[in-house]
Amino acid sequence: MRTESCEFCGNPVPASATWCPHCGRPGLFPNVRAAETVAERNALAERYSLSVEAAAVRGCAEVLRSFEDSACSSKAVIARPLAQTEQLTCSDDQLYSTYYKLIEAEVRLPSGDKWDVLRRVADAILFPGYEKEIRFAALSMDGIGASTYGECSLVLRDSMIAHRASVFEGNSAWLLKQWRYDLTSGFRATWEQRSMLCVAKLAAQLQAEATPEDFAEILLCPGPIAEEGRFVEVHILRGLTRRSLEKVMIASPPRGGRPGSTRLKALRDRLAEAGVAFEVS
Amino acid sequence: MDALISGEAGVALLFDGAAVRSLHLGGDTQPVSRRPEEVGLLLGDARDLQVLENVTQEEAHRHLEAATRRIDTMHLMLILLDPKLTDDTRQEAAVEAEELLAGPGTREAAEDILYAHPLPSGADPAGALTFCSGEAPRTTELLSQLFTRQSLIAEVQQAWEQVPDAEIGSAADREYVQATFVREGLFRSMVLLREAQQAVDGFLVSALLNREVQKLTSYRAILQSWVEPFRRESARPLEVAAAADVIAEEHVPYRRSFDRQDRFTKVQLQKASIVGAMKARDLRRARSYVSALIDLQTSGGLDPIHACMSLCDLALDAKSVGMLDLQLELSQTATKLKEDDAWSWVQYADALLDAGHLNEALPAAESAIVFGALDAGKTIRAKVLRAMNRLGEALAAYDEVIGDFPENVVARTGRAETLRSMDRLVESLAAYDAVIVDFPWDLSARNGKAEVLHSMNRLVEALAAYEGVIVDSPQNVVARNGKAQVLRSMNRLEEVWAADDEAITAFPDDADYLGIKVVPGFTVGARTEGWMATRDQEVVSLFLHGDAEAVGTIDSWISRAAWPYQRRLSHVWENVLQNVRLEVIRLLGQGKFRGESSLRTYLWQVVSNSCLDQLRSQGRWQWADLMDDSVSAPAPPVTGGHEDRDPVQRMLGRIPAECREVWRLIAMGHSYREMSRRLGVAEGTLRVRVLRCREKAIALRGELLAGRRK
Repeated sequence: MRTESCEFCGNPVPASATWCPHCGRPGLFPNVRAAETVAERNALAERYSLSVEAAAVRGCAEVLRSFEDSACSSKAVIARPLAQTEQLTCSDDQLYSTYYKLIEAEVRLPSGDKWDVLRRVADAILFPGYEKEIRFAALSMDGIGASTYGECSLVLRDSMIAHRASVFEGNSAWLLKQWRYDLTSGFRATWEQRSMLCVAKLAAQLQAEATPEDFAEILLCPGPIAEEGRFVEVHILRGLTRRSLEKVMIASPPRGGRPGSTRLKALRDRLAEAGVAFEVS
Repeated sequence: MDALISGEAGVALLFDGAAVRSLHLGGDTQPVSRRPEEVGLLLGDARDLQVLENVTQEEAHRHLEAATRRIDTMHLMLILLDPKLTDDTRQEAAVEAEELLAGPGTREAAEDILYAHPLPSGADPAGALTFCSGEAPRTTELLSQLFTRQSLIAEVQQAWEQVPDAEIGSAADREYVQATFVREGLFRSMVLLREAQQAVDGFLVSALLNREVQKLTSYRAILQSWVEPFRRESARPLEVAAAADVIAEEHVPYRRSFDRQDRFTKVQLQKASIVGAMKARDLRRARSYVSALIDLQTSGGLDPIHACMSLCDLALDAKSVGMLDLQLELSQTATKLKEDDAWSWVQYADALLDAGHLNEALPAAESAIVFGALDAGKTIRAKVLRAMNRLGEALAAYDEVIGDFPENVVARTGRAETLRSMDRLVESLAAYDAVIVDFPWDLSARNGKAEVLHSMNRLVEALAAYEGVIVDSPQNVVARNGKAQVLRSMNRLEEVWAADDEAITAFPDDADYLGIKVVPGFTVGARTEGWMATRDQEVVSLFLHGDAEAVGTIDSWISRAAWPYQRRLSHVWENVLQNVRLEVIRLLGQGKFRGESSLRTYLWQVVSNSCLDQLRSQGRWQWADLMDDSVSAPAPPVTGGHEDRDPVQRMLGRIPAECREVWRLIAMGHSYREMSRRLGVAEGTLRVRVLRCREKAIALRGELLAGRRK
C-alpha cells in the first residue's frame, strides 16, 4: 500500500485516506494526491511535450497555444435533467449525491446494465476506498455540459472545487475497459494542470484553421451514447450543494409551452436566492 | 407495440420488436430511432415510469401528454406554494395551472400526487390562494380542498408509515409500492373515503381488483395493514364519536350545513399563515392574508362575529411579536366589522393603550363596558387612567372592578401598582400581599411586592422576594433584573457581576437582560466591548440591507428608548416616532455610527435627543426627563408646585450636578468604559464616584421618606 506523510503530524498516511488516521486532521483529497505523484506528473509532461512538438510540425503551434489558454479557464460542468436540478436548487440542505450513496440509501436501484459493472470496476481502480465520495463532471469551455445526461448544465465554482478536483482523460469506465484495466500514468492531472491534459489529449485533433469558437466542441462533444462521447472527466471529492454552483445554463428549454417556462422562472428565483446565475440560451 | 412513458423525462419509448423509438412532446412529434443503450440516458433518473402494453403510437402520445400534464401541474402547485419565489413567478404559475387543469383527468392526476403526502411546513397555502383569487377558479378549488384535507392526508400518510417493513420489504420496495399506489390514485381515494366517513371495505375491494396493484408482491397484506387503523376507528363506540362531534362543535362556530369542518380548517390555515407573515415581519403579506381571512369568514352571509374573534386572536399575536401598529389595525377592523362586539372593543382599547393613544383608549374602553365586557372593559379603563397619570381615578376604577369581580387578578395587581405609583408604599405592599395570598402563582404580583420592598429600602426582604420568583421561574428577566438592582443597592457589586455572567450564560438568547444583549444570537457582555463594536457594525449593515431581524431589533430599541416620552408626547406620538426612525436611518446610512459606544447606547442618545427636541419645541421639557444631553447644563429650577406634587423631583433637585450627570448616563445605558470616556475620568475613579452618588441618593431618599411619614 502506497503511503505519504501527513503534512501536519508527519506520520505515514495511506494514499487513499481522506483524513490522517494518526492526528485525525481532515482535508486530504486522495484523488488530487494521486494526480500529483511524480510518476503522473512526469508522464503527463512527456505526453504534453510530444503533443506540442507534433502540433508544431503540423503548423498548429499557434492554434494549440490559443486552445491551451482557453482550456486554462475551462469549467467543471455537471449535466442533469431539469427535475433533478430543481431538487438540488430548492434549498441549501439538498446535496448532490453519488450513484453509490443513492443506492446505499435505497433511494434508487442499481441500473443493472453493463455500465453498472464497468463503472464499479473502474471506480475501484481509480478511487480505491473512496469511490463513494466522487462526483463526476466534465470540462467545458462554454459552460454547456454533456447534454446526454440532462438538459441543465450546472457550472461549478472554481473556488469550491479547485482544491479537491482532479481531471481524467475521458470517460473512465469506458477507457479503463479499453485499456483492459491497466491504469497507466499520464492520463490524469490536478485541477491547475487541466490545460496540459487537454493539450496532451486533443492537440492531434486541432487543425491550423480552427478558431476559438471551435474549441468548446473539440473539448466536449457528447455522443448519443456514453461510449461515443468525448470529454475530459472531472472527479470531485465530497459533497456539492447549490452554493457550489456558479451558474446553471440550459441550452434549450426541456419542452415547449408555458409550464416549462414557469418552472424555469422558479428555478431562476431559487438560484438567485443562493447567488447563482441562470442562463437560457 | 409496447411503450415506456415518463412525464418527468418528457419521453415515451416505443418498443416494437427489436426496434426502439422515442416520442417527445413539443417540437418534432415524429418518433426518433434509438439504440437500446440510449434508453437509460433518455429516461435519466425519472421515477414516474409507466409501462403500456399493446398500444398504438397515438395512444402512447396521449398517455405521454397526460403524464407530462400531471408532472407540470404538480410542479406548478409546488411553485405556487413556495413563499420564497417571486410574486410574478407564483402568479404565472397560478395562470398556467388553471390552463392545465382544464385538461381531462389532470385534476385527478395532480390530486393523486398531492394527496400522497402532507404539505411541507414551509408551504404558504394562504399566499397560493391569494395568487389564484379571481382568475383561477379551478386552481383555487383544488388548493382549497387540498388545504382542507391536510389533516386527513396526514392521517392516511401516517397509516401508510405504520405498514410493517415485514409486509413490504426494503425501503426501496416501499418507495416502489407507494409510487404505484400514488399513480393508481389509492392515496387520494383513501383521503376522500375518510372525508366521507365511509367504511373501508369498498375501497379495499376496488384496490384489490386493480391490475397494477395486483402486480405487486404481498399486495393483499400491504393493503390490509394500511386500512387496519381506519377499520378499528370506524368500529369505535357511538358515544365516543358523538363526544368528538360535540367538541368539534364547540371549536367550530359555523352551521353544520355550511361545510363547517372545511371552513374551520381553512380559517386555521389562514391564521397560521398570517402569524407566519407577522413573525417574518412581512406587513404587506400579513395585511393581504387578513383581508382574505375576513372575506372567508364573512362570505355567505355569515355573522361577522367569527371574523372579529379571529381578528382579536391575531391582534394578540401581533402584540406578542411587537407589531403594535398591526395590533391596532386588526382590533380597529374588528370593531368596525361588528360595532357591538364588546371583546373587539377591549382589544382595541388595549391596542390604543399599547400604542400610547390614551385619549382614544379611554372611550374605547368605555365602549367595551357599554357592550357588556364589564370585567375586562373596566380593567382596561383603569389601566388607561393609570397610564394617563390620573392615579386617583385609576384607583377608584380598580376598586370598582374588584368590587364586582374580586377574582380579577389583573385588576388587583393593577391596584397595587397604582398605589405604588402614588407612593403609598405600605398600602401597596398590603395589596400585593393580598393578591399573593389568593394567587400565589402570580409572578407579576410577587415581582411588584419585591419592587415595593426595594423602594422601602427593605433590601434583604426585596432580595429574598426576587430570589423566590427566580426559583419558581428561572427565566423571569424582571426578577433577575430586580435582583441585580437590589444587589447594587446593597453595594454587593461582585455578586452583581456574577449575576450578569450567570444570566448571560443561562439565557444567551434572552433579548433584554440588564440591557446587555445586542441582537438574538449576538449575546455580549458589557465587558467585551471590542467584540460588541464589530457585532454592532454587522447589525447596522444588516439593518441597512433590510434584514428583518436587524430591523426588528433596532426598531424595538428605538421603541424602548422612546417609551419614557410617550405619555408626554402622546398627541403627536406617531409623528415623533416616525421622525425618530427616519433620523436613525439617515444617521446609520451616512455612517455616523462609528462604534465609539455600543449601538444601543448610540440609538438611545439619538432617540432621546429627538424626543427632547420635540419636548423643547413644545416648552414641556423638565429636568425630570433625565435626558438632557448637555453635560454641563445646570439643573433647571424646580418650581414649588412641582415639589409639592412630586417628591422624587424634589429629591433629584438636591442631588449634586456631578451625580445627576452620572445617573443620566447610567439611565441611558452607558457602560463604565463609555462613561469614563465621556466624562474624561478614569474608570476606577468613576466607579468610586458612582458608589458615593448612590450613598448620597440613598441618604436623601431616606430623608424624604422620613419627612413623608412625619
